[in-house]
Amino acid sequence: MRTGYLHGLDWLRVVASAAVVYAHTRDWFTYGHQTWWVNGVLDTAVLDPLRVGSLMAPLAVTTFFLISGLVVTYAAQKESPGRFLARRMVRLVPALWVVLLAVWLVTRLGLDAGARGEHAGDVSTLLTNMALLNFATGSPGLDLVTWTLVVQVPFYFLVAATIPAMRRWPWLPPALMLTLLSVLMSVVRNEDAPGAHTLRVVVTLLPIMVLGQVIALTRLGKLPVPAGIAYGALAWLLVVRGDLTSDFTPAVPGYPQMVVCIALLTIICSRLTGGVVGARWVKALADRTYAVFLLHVPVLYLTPHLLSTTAGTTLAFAVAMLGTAVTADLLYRFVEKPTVRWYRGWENRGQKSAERARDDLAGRVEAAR
Amino acid sequence: MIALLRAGAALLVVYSYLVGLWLHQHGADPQPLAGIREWLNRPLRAGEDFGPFALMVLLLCTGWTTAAARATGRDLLRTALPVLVAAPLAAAALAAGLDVWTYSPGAGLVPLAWVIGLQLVAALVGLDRRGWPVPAAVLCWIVLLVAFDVDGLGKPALFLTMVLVGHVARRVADGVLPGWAGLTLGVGCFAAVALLDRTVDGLHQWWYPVAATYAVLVFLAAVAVPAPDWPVTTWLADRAEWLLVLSGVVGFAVLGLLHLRVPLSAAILCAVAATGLAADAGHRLTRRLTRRTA
Amino acid sequence: MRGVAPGLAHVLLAAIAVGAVVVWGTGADPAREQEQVTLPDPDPRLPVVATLSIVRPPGTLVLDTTKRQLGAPLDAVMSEREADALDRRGAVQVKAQIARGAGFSRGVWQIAIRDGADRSGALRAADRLYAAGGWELVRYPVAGVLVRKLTPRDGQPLAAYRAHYLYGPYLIRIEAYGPDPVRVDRDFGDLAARQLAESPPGLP
Repeated sequence: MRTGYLHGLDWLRVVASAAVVYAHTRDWFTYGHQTWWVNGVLDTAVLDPLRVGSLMAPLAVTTFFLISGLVVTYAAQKESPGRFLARRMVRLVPALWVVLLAVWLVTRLGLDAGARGEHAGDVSTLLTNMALLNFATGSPGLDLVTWTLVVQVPFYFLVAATIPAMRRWPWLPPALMLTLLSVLMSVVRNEDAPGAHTLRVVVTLLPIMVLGQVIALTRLGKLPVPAGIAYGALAWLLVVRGDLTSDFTPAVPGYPQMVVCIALLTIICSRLTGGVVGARWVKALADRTYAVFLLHVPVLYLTPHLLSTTAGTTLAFAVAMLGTAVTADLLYRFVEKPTVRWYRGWENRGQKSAERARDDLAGRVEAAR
Repeated sequence: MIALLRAGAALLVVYSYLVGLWLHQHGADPQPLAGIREWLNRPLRAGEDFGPFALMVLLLCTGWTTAAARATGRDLLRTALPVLVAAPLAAAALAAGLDVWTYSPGAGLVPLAWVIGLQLVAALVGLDRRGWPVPAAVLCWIVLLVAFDVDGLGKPALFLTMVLVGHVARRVADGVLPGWAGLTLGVGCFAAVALLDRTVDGLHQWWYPVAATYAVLVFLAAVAVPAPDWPVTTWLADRAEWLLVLSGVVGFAVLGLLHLRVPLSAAILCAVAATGLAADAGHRLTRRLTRRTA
Repeated sequence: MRGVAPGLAHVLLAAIAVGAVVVWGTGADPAREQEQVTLPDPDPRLPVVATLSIVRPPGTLVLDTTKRQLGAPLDAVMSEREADALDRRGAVQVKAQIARGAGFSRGVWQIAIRDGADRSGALRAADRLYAAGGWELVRYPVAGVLVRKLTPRDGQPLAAYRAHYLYGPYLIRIEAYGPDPVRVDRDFGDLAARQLAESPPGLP
C-alpha cells in the first residue's frame, strides 16, 4: 500500500489556485471596464490554441474536487468516521467563518467586497452563509466561491458513512455513491428553486470527487486497475450525463474535458517526488491555497474602494494581489494552522507518543482539505 | 504497456477511419455511432471519432521505442512496407472500380501514408543519443515552416511533435536528459502544436491541440505501468501500421461491395474482419522479408 | 462465493440506477423541452458543435455573456419592452459582447430562437422595435440584413446603427453608436463586414 505525502499534487493545487484567481481577475477587469493585457497575451499564446480560455473555472474546480476526493480517501483509511468528519470540519470551518464574518462586516460598512444581494448586511445573511444555506434558500451570498464547499461537505459525510464498509469492501463506497448520484440526477430535473438548483450542482459535480476516491483506492492497491478504470469511467459518464441533461448545470461548458485531463494529470503528478516537486516553497504555497481561494474575490472587489479607483487598474490589481497574499498567509498562520494544531492536541490528550505518531501519519497524508 | 497503447490505438484507427469515416462519407449516422459521438466525442472535444488521438498515441509510442534502439535497414523496410504494399493495392482497387479511400484518384492513394512517413522520420530522430539537439532542430524547422507559410506540411509537422515528445520522454526516463530539459522541450512541442493549429489553413476546426493533450497525458500516465502481454494485444500492436493503411483500401472496398447486399452492421463486421486478415497477411510478409534481409 | 456477493451487489445497484432512469428519466427537465434550440451540426465528426457565431467587437469588453452555456436571459441584458417583444417571438437566451473605447460602443448579439418558433417573425419584431423608435431604414448590400440608423438631433446626441439578420437558429444583432456619425459609420461598416464574413445570413 503506497501511502505518504503526495508532493506532486501540491503543484496541481498551486496551478489550480492560480487558475481560479486568474479567471476571477479577468472578470474583475471586465467589471471595471478595463483591458487586461495579460489576458490578451495569454489568450493568444496559450489559452485559445489549447481551447481553454473559457475553461479556467472548470480546470480549477475539477482539480480541487479531484485532489480532495483523493486525499480524504487516504485519510479515511486510518480514521474513524467521527474523527474523519471532525478533522475535515476543523480544517474547513474556522477559516470559512472568519472570512465570512470579515466580508459581512465590510459589507455593513457600505463597501463592496463582492457580496451580492440586497440584504447582504443582515445578520440572517451571515448566519445562512456560515451554514452554507444561502445556496439552498437563494439568500445573498457573501463569498460566492464557497459554493464548492456545498459539494465537498456532502462528500465528506458520504465518506464518513462508508468508512466501515471501505475497510472490508473497498469497491462498495464508490459503487454506492455513484448509484445514489445517478438516482438523484434522475429525480432532480427541475432547477427553478434555488435549493433544487444547488442539489443539481452537487449531484452533477460530486462524481468528480468520487473519481478522486477511485484513483486513491487504485493507488492504494485496494481496487484492481481494471475496476478502477471502470468506476472512473462511470463517474465521468455521470458528469457527462449531468451536462447533457441540464441547460443550467454546469453553468460553463468544458467539465467533461477537464475531468479527464485533470484525472490523468493527477495520476502522473502523484508519482512525482524529489527535486523541485518536493520543495518547501511549493508545499508552503499549496498549504495556503484554501485561504487564497476564500479571500481573493473579497480582496479583489474591496481594493478599488480602498484606493479610490476602479476595478481593473494596474494599481488596484497589484495591491489586490499583494493583499490576497498577505491576508491568505495571515489566515493560514493565525486561523487554519492553530485550529488544526489545537484540535490534534485535544484529540491526542492522554495518548502515548507512539499512538500519537500513528494518528499524525494519517494527518500528514492529507495534502488538502 | 507500449504494446497495449499501440493495440488500443490500432483499434481506434480502424473505428475512426474505416467505420466512422466510411459512414460519414455515405451520409449515415446510425446508433451506436451517434451515441458515442454525443456521449464521448463531443464532451471530450475529440474529433474524427478519436482518429487523430489514436495516430498521436501511435507516434508517441514510436518516438519512445526508436529512442531506445538504433534503426537498421531492416527496421526501415519493416516501417515502410505497409505503404509500399497499400499504394499499388489501392491503385488496383480503384482501377477495378472498387470503393477506396483516397484524397483524389492519382493524388494521395493512401491518405494516412504520411503517418508512416513520420515513423521513418522517428527512426532518424532516434539516432540522436543526447536527446535534445534533433528535437530542438525540428522545432526550429516548424517555426520556419510557419514563417514561410508552407501549408502542405503543416499537419504532418503538427503530428511530428508527438514523435518528439515520445523521444524526449524516453530520454528523460533513461536519465540521458534532465527533467527540466525534457519539460522545456515538451513545452516547446506544445507551443509548436498551438502555432501550427493557429496558422495552418484547415487545422483550426479539428482541435488537434486537445487531442494532443489527451494523447500525451494518456501516454505519460500509462507508459510506466507494467501490463501483461496478452496475445490479442500483441497481435494488434504488431499489425497497427498495416491496419492503419489497409482500412481505407481493403476495408472500404469490402464495405462498398457489401453494404447494399447485407445489413450494414454485418457489412461493417466483414470489412473489419477483412482488414484484419489483410493486416495479418501483411505482417507475415514483413516477417518473411525482414528475415530474408537479416 | 467470494466473487458472487460483489457481483450481485453490482447487479442490484445497477438495477436501482436503471430503474430510476426508467421511472424519472435521465435528468432532463420535460418542462424545458419547448425552450429547445437545435444547433446546426454540419459535420458530426467535428469535435464541437459551434455555439457561438459572433465575432468579438474591438475595444474593451464591458459586457460579455458568452462564457456561460446558456448565455443570459433576455431581461438581464435588454429593456423590458424589447425582452417582451422578442420573448413572444420565441427568443430564449442571449450571448452578447459589447466593447467600448473613447466614448464609442460596438456590440454583437446572438439571440437564440427556440425550435418551432417563427424566426422571420422574430427578425421583423426586432426591426419594428427600432422603426417605432424613429430609426431610419438603410439600404444594405447583403440580402436578409435589416439595417436601421439613428442620426443625432436635438435632445439625442448619438449616432447609432442596429442591424438584424437570421443565421441558423439565431437572430444576430450588430450595433455601433457614439457621438461622431462619421466614426460610427466606419465602426459599423467594419464590424458588420467581419460578422457577415464569419456568419452570413441563412443556414450554416
